[in-house]
Amino acid sequence: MKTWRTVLAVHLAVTVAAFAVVLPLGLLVDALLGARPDGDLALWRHGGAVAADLVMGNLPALLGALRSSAFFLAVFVLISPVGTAALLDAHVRGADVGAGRLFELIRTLWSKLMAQRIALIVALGLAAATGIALQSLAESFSRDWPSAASRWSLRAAAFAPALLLAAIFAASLDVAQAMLVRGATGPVRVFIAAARWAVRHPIRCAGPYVLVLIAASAVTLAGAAAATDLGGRPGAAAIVLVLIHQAIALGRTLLRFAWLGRAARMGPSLTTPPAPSYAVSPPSDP
Amino acid sequence: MGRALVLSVFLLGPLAARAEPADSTADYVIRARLDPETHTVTGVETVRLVNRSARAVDQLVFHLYLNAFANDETLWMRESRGEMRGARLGEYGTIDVTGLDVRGTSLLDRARLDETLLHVPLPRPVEPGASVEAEIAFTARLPTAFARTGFAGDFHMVAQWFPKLALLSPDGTFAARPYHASHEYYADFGAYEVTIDVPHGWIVGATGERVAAERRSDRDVVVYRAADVHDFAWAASPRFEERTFRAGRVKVRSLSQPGQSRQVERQLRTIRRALPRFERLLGPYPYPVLTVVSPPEDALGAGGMEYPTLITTGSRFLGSIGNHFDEEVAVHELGHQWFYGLVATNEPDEAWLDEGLNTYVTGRIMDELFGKRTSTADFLGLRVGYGTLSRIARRIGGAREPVAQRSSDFSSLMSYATHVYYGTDLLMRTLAGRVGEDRLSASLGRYARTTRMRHPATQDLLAILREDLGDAPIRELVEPVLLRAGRFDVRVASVESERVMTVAGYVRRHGKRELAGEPRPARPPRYRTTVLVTRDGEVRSPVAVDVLFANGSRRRVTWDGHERWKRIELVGPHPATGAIADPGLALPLDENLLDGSRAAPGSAGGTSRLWLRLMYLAQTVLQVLGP
Repeated sequence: MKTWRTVLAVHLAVTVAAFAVVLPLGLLVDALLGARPDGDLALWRHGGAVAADLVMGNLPALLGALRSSAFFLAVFVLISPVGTAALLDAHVRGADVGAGRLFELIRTLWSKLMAQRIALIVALGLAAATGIALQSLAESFSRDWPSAASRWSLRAAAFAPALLLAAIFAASLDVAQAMLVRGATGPVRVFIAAARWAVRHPIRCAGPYVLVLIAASAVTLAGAAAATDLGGRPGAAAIVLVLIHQAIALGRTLLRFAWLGRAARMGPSLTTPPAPSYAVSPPSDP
Repeated sequence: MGRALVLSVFLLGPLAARAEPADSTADYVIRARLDPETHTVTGVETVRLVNRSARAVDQLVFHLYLNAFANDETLWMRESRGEMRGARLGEYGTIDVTGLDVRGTSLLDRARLDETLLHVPLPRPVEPGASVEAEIAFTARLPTAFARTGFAGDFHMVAQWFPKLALLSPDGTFAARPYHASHEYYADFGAYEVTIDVPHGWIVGATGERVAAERRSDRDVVVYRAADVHDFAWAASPRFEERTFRAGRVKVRSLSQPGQSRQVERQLRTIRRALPRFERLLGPYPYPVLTVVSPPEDALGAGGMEYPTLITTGSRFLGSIGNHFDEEVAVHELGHQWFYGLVATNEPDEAWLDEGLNTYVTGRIMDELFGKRTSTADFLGLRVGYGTLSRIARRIGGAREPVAQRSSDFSSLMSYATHVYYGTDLLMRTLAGRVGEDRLSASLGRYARTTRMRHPATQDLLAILREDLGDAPIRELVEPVLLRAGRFDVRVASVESERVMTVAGYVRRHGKRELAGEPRPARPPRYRTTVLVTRDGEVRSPVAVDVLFANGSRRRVTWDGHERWKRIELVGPHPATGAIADPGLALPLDENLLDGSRAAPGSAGGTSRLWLRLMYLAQTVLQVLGP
């Protein structure tokens, strides 16, 4: 894989960002628990009694730390389109993204990618509104049904089209981002075109996206199960758990990269080929 | 209802097999008709009170509980702001007495109504040992399912629905308090025969045993009898799904809504396992039947309640994932068959004796059934024990108040709930930690067995505990918490280890005083460890302190806890790495577990596991939101 450095760099960037997000909370817990001989192992003992005291006795400080974490999270969300652009660019050009290229991507594409994300939020709002409307209908239809299980099943079924629509819109965002990286202009126009195309080809577009989503969810659940079994144990078990979790995180990055490769090959051909906003240089022959 | 039938009920006596029958003081014969369109029960009751007090009784006092929901200005509604357990009152409820005769004389005009209490002066006093009968006609309009009673659609939980005599105290007065939002109930034992008239096809579950059923035109009429009970409740719905099974001698009948199978099966399985455990701990369940009513989701306000031989549970369709709340409700309400059901303490004045003790016993049984660490929740690595739930709840309750006070004297409903339920749980767990779980179980069991079918008070329980467990645990631990809002916090203030040096200064050698040389490290190396442990609060208890050493060993020192602090000094071949007070969490009344442990300088255990877990969590979130 000629692009492994880019994938690894994006994964490391996420890891560093995760560290920044966790920093305020971690420092606080360190101050509260660090002076114990058993350290954070205490949190898992006595049915969570120490953890409960930690939370209930330090709520204001914890909320303050969470606010700081939320700030770092927001900063990351603003920066994150650059990572997507880098992964897509690596796919499009079949080569790693160097520092110069990265700055070029930031300069030329960041605002457009953000515009597309805002468009996605609007589209997801539309999907949610559809879901809520369908659920309300189902609720009024099933109000007199005696069985709670049947009522819940109908409500869930009524929400399914909205979930499908959301998946289609989310997949379209990646398709539209790939189109931008390939040189298309007019980010919102591109997103709408991609979404229309995706609605016409739901299986082809959202199918692989949903499969990747399912695979990522499955490994995440496996991580949670591992945490249930190995969490709160000292020694080798703790190390094994960390290795499992980090392998899962890397696996999710690889899954994302694989899907973006598919997305980069999808999408409508725009009638008026736009002028590239930056020069796409083909990989040089060795 | 004719006098002959009344007599037949009283003479035939109870059908229930029981060990120690109660003194039947207030016996009822009631005929009730449910109108499902107006959610109204019209009834006629004949109640006979036997004056078992030492003085003549010149009045009767009845509880009219449903009047608490008559409007927004009642005492109950003002205190609760119309909300209980997350449910809000929809349609109002009332109860009106439309006829009241004693010995053939109508006393309705002389009766004085004080919202939820009806005082009825008698034409002539009832002497000790004598009895009086009253015939009362009434109309009860049920509220929407709320505060343990009411309707939702065609589900009707008919509870606190009839004019009920207040308990007659030994001094000849009635223990009658207005119905506060924090109050529950208190009544004399007696026998009940209740005839219930519902639309044809409706299924009824009620206190006691069904002894007759017949169809009359488009109505069904069922008759229930119960003896040695102090209340009567019933539920009716055309949609009930019925299940029955036996748990030992007891026939358990479950009435639930369609679509609740999964939750109901879980609850019934739990009841089947919990019932023998309660019996072992607190004595046999003396009735042949137990009815379990599961209200629909829009009637959960009527759920989670106990009546003699009938309990209501409650669950949401997807609410039980990863937790045991459904099972906990079932176990808790089952436990109430003993605490207040059989050991009929004064709920308004001493709620800790029923809700508190029952919460403790519920927790014990939940811990047994689902594991101490996971008896409340076990979901994606989040494990919460019942004791932890109590800690969280008590923290929410705010400033400490005495646990054994009248429910309406607590500063808020939240404070009442957290102190009475969870404060008692933590207190009893701590007592168990101090004296041993088996000894406490034996003592509680003796209390429950010797006071069943009676009305014991706090001092009765304390006397038994004192006899069985000694005076010190009661004086130092139980009474401060119950009576004086006592607090308890043990803290490891410091842990220090230093190398033992040879002596400097003048020493005696060979009978002469000599100046020793420069101090130098003793050989072989030895370390002097000093641990300072402090206690805050009025509560006292012996505390185990584990001192940890660099070679992985630990040494346990037990501090009697009498003074405010204790300096522990140990000398040994290894330096200490830290100390943990109460390492087994035997004293969960401790208000702050974070300060109950301290590392020696340079020996902190660190928080790397938590950091890495949080990192992974953040990575997951960022990968969802990010590139």
